[in-house]
Amino acid sequence: MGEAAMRFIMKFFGSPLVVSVCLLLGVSLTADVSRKVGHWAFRSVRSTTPPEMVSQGGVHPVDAFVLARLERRGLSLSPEASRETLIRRLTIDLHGIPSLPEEVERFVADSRPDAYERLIDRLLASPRYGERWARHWLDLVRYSESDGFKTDAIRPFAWRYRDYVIRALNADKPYDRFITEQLAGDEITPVTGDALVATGFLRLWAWECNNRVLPLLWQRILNDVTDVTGQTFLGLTVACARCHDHKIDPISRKDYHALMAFFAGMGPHDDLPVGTTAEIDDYHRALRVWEDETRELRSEVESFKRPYFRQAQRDGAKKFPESVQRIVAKPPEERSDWEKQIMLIGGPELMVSQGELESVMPKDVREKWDALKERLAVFEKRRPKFPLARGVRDMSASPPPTRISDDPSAMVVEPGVLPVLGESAISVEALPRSSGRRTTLARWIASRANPLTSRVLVNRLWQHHFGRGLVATPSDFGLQVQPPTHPELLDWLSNEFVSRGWSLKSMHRLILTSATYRQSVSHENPLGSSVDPDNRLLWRQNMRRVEAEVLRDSVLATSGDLDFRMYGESVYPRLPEGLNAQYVWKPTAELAERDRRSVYLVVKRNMHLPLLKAFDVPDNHGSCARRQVTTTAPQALMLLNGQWTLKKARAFAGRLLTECAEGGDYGRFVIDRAYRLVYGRGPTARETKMAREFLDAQAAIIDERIAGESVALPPRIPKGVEPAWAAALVDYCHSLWNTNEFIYVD
Amino acid sequence: MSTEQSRFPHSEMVTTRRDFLHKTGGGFGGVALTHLLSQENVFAGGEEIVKGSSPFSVRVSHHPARAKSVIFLFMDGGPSHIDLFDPKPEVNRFAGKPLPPSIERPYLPMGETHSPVLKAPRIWTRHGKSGIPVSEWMPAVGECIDDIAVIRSCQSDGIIHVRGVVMMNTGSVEAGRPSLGAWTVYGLGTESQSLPSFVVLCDQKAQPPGGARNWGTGYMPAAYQGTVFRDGPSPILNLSPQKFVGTRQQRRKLDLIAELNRRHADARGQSSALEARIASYELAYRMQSAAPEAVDLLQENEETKRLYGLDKPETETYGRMCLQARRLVERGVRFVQLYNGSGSRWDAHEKIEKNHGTRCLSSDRPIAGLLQDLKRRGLLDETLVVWGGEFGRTPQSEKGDGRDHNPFGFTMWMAGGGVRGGQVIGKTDDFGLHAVEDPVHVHDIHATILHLLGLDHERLTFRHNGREDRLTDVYGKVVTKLLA
Repeated sequence: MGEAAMRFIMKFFGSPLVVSVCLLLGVSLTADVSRKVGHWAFRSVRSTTPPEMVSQGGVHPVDAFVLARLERRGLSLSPEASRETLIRRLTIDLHGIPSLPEEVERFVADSRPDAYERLIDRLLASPRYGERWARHWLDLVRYSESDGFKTDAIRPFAWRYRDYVIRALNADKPYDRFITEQLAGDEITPVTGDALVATGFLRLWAWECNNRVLPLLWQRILNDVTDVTGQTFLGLTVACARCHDHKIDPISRKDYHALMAFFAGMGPHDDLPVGTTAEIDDYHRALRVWEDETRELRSEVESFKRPYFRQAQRDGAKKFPESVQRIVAKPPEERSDWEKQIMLIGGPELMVSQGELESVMPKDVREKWDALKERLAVFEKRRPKFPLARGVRDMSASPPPTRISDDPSAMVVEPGVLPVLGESAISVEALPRSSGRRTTLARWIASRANPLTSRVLVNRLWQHHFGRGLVATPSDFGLQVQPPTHPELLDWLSNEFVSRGWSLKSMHRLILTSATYRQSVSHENPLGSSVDPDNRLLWRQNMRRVEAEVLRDSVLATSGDLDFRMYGESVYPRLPEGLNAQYVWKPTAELAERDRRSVYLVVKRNMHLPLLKAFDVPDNHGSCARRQVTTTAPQALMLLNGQWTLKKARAFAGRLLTECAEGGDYGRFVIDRAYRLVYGRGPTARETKMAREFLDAQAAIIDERIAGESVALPPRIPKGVEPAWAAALVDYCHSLWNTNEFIYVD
Repeated sequence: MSTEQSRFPHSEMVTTRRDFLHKTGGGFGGVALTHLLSQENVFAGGEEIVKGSSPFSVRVSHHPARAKSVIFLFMDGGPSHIDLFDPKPEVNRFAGKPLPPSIERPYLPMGETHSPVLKAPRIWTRHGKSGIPVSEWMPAVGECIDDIAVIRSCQSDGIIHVRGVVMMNTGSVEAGRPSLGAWTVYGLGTESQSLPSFVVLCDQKAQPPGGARNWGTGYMPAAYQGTVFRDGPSPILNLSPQKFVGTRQQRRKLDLIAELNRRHADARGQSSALEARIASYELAYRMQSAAPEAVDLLQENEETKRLYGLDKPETETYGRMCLQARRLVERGVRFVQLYNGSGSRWDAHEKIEKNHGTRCLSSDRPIAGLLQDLKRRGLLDETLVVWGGEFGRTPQSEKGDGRDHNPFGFTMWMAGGGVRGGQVIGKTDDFGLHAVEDPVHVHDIHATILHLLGLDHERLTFRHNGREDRLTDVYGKVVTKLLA
């Protein structure tokens, strides 16, 4: 391809590789290297000790750091929240669904000194924990089960990566191992299915299946993988260095490409075996036996079809640029690794369908071919079957060279780690059939010496427990962001994290047992409101709106419909009418399954469940470290008038009526029970009165309609309960889900 | 500012200077009010919006605005400029022959780069005082030509539909960035108390390629996204209560929610997030009546309906959309986008005569009606009307009677809202393949639209992944020739 053509393609197909100017107001253009080196996030994690508290003895180390800063401003922590508030906060934080009334009761009545710690342990031990926290990770890695772009095809088995994350979190897999498996699971020996599934992390890019300029498509994928790796594990937005060196950027273009070079050898595969090491070995053995048995026939088939296949493929490639056509024209065994990558990335567009193949065969050939096919089919049936996953493997031990695009010297960039983060000497040890590059990268990231990895992760934990990280920009620890509010605490937590064997659960326990976490959200401290209105110093806990998935799961939990089955193929919930027909899916047949937790719902790039979309689920095109929290009228309409919520309100009312002892005081029971299920507390006398008045007056209104018009009723109404009153109860239940107390956590 | 804000119940009253900075400054990514803001607030970028205070409050523009709202008439699939607004006698002279070697031949998606030139058998009429030629496919629009600035030298980066449409809407061929409408609402807020600020209508069941990302917010808060109005009396999803719920019943539910929320908020002191959410229910309630009212054409007289072509089946659908668009901007909606031929219906790879004949017929009268109606109501001065597709079409033929995609040089036009009508900007080569004079890139179109709205495209930024991102990335210049 000529230079002009390349320029043209760059212009019209590859976005002009987002040329970015990472300038901010007030930042001097002349910032120099010394500043980069002195940057707090790039220095090694310091060994800090909690300040000694003069005023209080025996304080929790986290509190010691927080109090030291508060006391300097004349502030202190707010009082501890009530037990009911604490268990609701903890359960939403760790499980993403409200606690059961019985659990609240038990905790409130638990007079043991370690009741709170026991609660944390119980919550962390539950599989609900992994389901909740997997979602945070999936946001970061832009998890999606579809390609995006126009076609947005579903990727079979992509959900195995989601299950991997849930399992890893529930098992408290050490974070360094978690990193290594995702970056280089295929290079770990002995090979495990789990680690192969983890490499699905490297397959989560959006993919334009009908883009024919494959070299640029592949380049963009490598860029994307580099960017997301930087953001997810290192909290760095490296993409700014893709096209230019910036004076204020600590990362040069060469650094960027050196990072990218770690990925240069990988190829996407959709047939990675899933299972234990022994199972995979058995599978490979069986496969070899089958291959031996069928070798002769298969090679006969191959050599028979080869000329026709090649012709069909060349015909199909005519719409591709010449550079791609040349690759297609080469015999497969002569293609370089890079050319093989291009063929893999071209995917279906370069594949030859059975129909296309047969259309180029003359009639007599076709007859022989049919006979051959029949013979092969007999053996195909006996091919060993095994669960498969999507992931990557290196093409060979020596990856194609990485070069900086438009660099006139065309110098090859070797893999290298960021010099700005300290010691940057690495040695890559190639494996027999893999470059070992990604293992080297993983080793550098998942290392105690890396100043970013542990800081970034503990900050993410903090963010999800307080609504805001100690560093407010969780995936940007660069030069241009606000420094941490509590730098010593951040370093102390980072060290603890590593010395506790990279255990997330241990860090949750540490943070959650602090008085800082346990304090109330009250704004009542007037000094706090004036000195620190944004609560940067943490003189109170932050009130937080629940995420979209928590909202949906909480509705299902309270209505009693939540289906707790774990793992497996994704669920397709029913979509409301009037959405873009091209991307509408067929709902999962089994009704109960549609009520599974949101983490098991299909994640498509071009179609989100409107309820979740309205409440700010990310679009999964890029990494999302912190979700937007918006408040809009369409959200209100969705909860108020949407068919789904009303349907679930009927189930909720039915649940309340069923749970009440027959002949009991329905009014008193259902109001009390509804409060406990939805808000995790009992109603006050005033609230009970309000609710009773609402139910009676609403029943009177409905009574006028009930004869002629349809009314939303619970599925079963016990004897002695007026239908109009039961319908009013549906309205009441429905209203509770619309209230702020349900949607915000104190 | 506080008096103005108090007109909008969903935005909060500001009481202190600090409040003022917080609630108004955030929306600008710390640009418009830089001199007033501390560094911390500058860096906050979108964060202050995230608190849920009031993403829609009317905001100060960078400079005096010429247009208050935009109606973007999107011809989905790519209309052939050389058959509509850019006459090329050479095309007919070379019909059936290859392009002369002097014309650079770009790679085309269907591979017919070297196909012969296809005749454009149009009759051109010079209209109005300006005498700008318009083909017989757009006679009614031709009559409005003195209000229209024709830009014949447009260029885009997207050569296939999804990239082209997404480029035209978001300034990037890749997904994940906020749309022009979202940037507009982010920059200016909305003046409507009871309607969405950004409304999208499609004339077909299908949506344009890329679907919702064309009116999405990418990395910005979802609050700025476009709302698709559906056909029929209830234009917004979930606008009306389910049939099981009577009006009084619904009102009482809302009262209960309001009371519970009020008590909850009172117990927690001041919280803008809680207040905003209480207000969102009030807005939702108002929308229930305001949105159907806005699209209800029963209130329009017969003469007006005829003006938009509602009396003819072929123009009825797009005519209704155009008339609804006028009603929406009258009611303070900031950005309205009307797709004609949604789902790439303008994509005439073959049988262009039939394809474009149908599409032009469906849109000519309605568009002219919109321009005339806006003008006689005095609304054209403050409403910017933009016409165009994601690209134009090639002079070369495809399949013998169609044309391929052409993002190298194509026509768009603008009218009203500070645009000097009756002029032609830019030029393509003799065959209409490449822009050769005053090229106007999509980034420039965006910069110009924002400029007319009183926004500086270089200062309208949103912090994302470590940088102050803008609609025009690092490109874009205002097409000053266009300005009145």
